[in-house]
Amino acid sequence: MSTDFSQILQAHSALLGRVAATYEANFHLRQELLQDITLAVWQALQKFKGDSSVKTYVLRVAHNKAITHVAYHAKQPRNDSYCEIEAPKPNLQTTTDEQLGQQQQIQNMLKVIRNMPIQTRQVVTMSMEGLSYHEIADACGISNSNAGVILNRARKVLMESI
Amino acid sequence: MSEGQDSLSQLWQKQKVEQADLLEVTKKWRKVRLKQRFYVLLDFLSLAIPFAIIWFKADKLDSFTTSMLIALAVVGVAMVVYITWLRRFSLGWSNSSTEQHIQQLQKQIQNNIKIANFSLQSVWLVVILSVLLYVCLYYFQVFPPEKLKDKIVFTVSFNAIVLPCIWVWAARRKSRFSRELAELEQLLHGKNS
Repeated sequence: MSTDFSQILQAHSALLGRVAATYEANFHLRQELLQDITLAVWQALQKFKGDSSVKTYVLRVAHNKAITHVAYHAKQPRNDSYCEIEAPKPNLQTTTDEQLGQQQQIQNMLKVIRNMPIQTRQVVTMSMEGLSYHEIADACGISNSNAGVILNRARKVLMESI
Repeated sequence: MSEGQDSLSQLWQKQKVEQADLLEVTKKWRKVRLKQRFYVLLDFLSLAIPFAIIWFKADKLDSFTTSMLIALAVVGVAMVVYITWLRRFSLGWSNSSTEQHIQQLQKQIQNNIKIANFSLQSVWLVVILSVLLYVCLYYFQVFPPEKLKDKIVFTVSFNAIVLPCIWVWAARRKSRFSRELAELEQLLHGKNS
């Protein structure tokens, strides 16, 4: 793996982890998805032409791979009951009530996001990653105004959930 | 950015996430590449066998068997080309927009159903072709009756064991791809979690 690509992957590793979390609740399937996404991004980086920011490009490839993954894993249940571990449990000794509450809010938020249509999931998570309307619209293949409408609706739902 | 969006983003960024093991990713890539090359080799070998038989055994083959092998090789090439064409969307990653990617994904799953259906129907085709082959072998008196009888027994036994297995395998694949397509439709409309 070339050093440049490794650096880009390192720099975006948390972001890729969040994309995986958007599509998979199950811990083991999420790990598998994260490896698949990272591999897809690494391959895709070799064809990056600089038409968009690296972050937008990485997010687009990652979401596309995640959609393929969830579509091809139709057999396996994608809910919490499939395996005992949904996510690594926080260390209760060093975690304050505030942090626990925050993690609970995040879990609620993820549950709501995972129930959203794919396009809405992508728009809302890309927005929370700091992408502009234009970048989101370009990555999703929709118009700026459509991206805005989808985002506003999703934001309302999310605010209510947390 | 509104205050609500800002607080959502802040919360989103505080999410605890796992990180990919880059060494594992590299290993996986080598494995995937090896697997792809192996499949290409298998396709090539399956096509090369009839040609190899014609090439090396030309002097021992009668004109009927030679014609059959050439026809088999031509049909084989056409099938490999057709199946590769149906699989074209599944080759590698996609950096197109997600809208296009989803359309390609739907098309690919529909093509996978076609491929599975093709395998399923090929079972009948093999039975019909086997019957035709032996009728021709009998008609042109390619083999002495005893030898022909032995060959028929072997083919019928082979078909009786192998063809039902292919039928079950293809039927399962067809139903799996149909389920995947339904799952994708559900995901697109947000009914799944």
